[in-house]
Amino acid sequence: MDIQRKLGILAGAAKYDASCASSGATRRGSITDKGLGSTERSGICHSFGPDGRCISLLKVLLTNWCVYDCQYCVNRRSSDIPRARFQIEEIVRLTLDFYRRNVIEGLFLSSGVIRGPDYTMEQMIAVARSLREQHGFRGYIHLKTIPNASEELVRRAGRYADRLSVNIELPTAESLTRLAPEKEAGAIKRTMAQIRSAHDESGEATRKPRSLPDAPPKPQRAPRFAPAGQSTQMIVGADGSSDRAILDTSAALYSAYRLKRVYYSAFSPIPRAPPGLPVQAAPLLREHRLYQADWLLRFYGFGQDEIVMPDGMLSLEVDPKLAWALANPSHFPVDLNRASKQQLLRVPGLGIRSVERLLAGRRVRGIRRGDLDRLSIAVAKVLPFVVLPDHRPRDGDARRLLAGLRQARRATQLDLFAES
Amino acid sequence: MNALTVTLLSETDWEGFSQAVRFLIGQGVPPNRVIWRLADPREIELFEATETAAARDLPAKAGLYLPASFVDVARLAFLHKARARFDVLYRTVWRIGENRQRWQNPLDPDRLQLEQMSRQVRREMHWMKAFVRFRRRVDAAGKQRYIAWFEPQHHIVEAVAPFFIRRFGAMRWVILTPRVSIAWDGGVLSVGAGAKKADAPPADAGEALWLAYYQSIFNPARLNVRAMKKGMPVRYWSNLPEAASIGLLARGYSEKN
Repeated sequence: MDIQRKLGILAGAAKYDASCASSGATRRGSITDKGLGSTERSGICHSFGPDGRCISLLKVLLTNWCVYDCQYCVNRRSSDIPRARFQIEEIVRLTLDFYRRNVIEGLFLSSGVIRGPDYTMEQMIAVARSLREQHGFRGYIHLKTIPNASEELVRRAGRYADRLSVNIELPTAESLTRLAPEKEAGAIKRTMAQIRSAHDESGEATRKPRSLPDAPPKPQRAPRFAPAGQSTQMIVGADGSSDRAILDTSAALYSAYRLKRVYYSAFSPIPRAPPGLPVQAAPLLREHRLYQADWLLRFYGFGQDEIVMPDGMLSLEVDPKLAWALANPSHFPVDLNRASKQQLLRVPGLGIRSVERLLAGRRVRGIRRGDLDRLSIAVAKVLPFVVLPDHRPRDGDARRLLAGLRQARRATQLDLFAES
Repeated sequence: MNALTVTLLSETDWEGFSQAVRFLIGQGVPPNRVIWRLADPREIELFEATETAAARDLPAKAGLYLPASFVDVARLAFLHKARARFDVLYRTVWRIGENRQRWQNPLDPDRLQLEQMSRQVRREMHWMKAFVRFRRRVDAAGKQRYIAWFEPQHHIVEAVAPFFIRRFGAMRWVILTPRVSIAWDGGVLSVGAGAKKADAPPADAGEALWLAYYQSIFNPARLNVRAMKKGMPVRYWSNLPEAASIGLLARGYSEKN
């Protein structure tokens, strides 16, 4: 099979993994040692697909052959799809070639499980080791870790990779038993725990980024281990879990394994799906709302129980912060010149950056209505919820905002499929 | 006092600009008496009536201390394409000289304008790192060179060069742009004249693999052209080889549904 055909199959099979992030690596370059590549603190999206998703990494499977038969997975054993397997050298060459064209930040390598977890993991590590040791590659490497691979292999993977991830797959252990009978939640979490403890021991969590480009490395306390930490992915809408259950699982994972990110992937029906799976795709909007909620939980001081509706779901109609504000009118209006930072962060339309600019501005003088435009704040969304010396919301302003948003959403839904 | 016309060597002549600013502040020349222009022969006639000085010839006074946070913003805003940046920058320095507290006010209109300019410049720098596309060319001696054509909106090329050196230090590469070209031979960076798109090579054989990847990683069940355009503005598409297949991919989806 020629390389282009393999690439078609094995990139096609990798597109269900949502993450393409290349952030969080320690800053490093290759100028002094004739290697190839560098990483910045924040990643770079080199392209975007027509699905609106960032393309930052060469995201491929080593192989889409798989011994497991997970119902939701297009590569399951019983699936009737074309199969392929890359040679280690082929992935290495593709990564280096794409990198030199400046179309990627690095490699995201995942795989179907062949022979067993350890064998598969060893093959993946061989790719990363070749890139690092034979080719002096300093770009980003994300390795998907196979649950139940031996701890020794997890540690070796972390020596070469910037990020490791194990997919939690489904929000509850029961769903995993039903849809992926050969996987068990215990093994997934055991692997996550191994990554966390190796990461803790390496001191990566507290290691400071080097301040000067190409400065000599500081003496290290322990071998490097996945400096960009670990992440996971959860499929949304393949089982009946509520948003509340999903967010609870995320919160538990963030704290137990110090995850950098939980990715949510809206279930989309796969070709020749087995019975027992929904025939409908989960709305992409639901996935989007989960990301917004995840953000509010981690950076805005919200709790899970506050932002879901009584039925345990997030509002699809409006973002979770606005939904919370509409459901809690007693917290508003907020005085922009007096409210605490925590209160400001709960005002719809105010992000972390605008809150910081408001706080800095009001130290100099009182904030007025016109200042909001100057600070590029989403005025229409903010005004129903705030008081200023020359502005006070009228009764029903929030209701009118909601009606306006409904109308705008109908218009953009029509627009979503427009090409230009 | 008559107006003074100060000539900068180029769009990116930060050194000349800061030397002139130190001189002008030292002499107490108010912003409305200064005209900034570039050493471009086409512009001379416009300003003949005023007294003219080359920025780098002005005897600068030492000891102009400005807040570090201002200098960070100013260095980026200086690379903005708007000619007004010179006036805004000098006016801001003048006003900081009158009252240092002015730079502490995040609502000050000059500060807001400079911050906006610096954000636009920083974003353009980021996009240059993302969207430069190298193509391989092998010369008669068998040596490989990677060549790219890029059209930035602001004067950022020299400022982004260190990124490409750090990343591709062992490669020989050239980035051609309309205003300026930069070339790295593995040890020295040279800055040369601007170029034309036709100076850059056409697609090489290996590019087909990148295009194949771009087409396979797209998930048609998630078509979202609006989000794509937000992440990858249309004005860059003409220099992105993969952009040619966007229409086909998106249409293929619409027809199936």
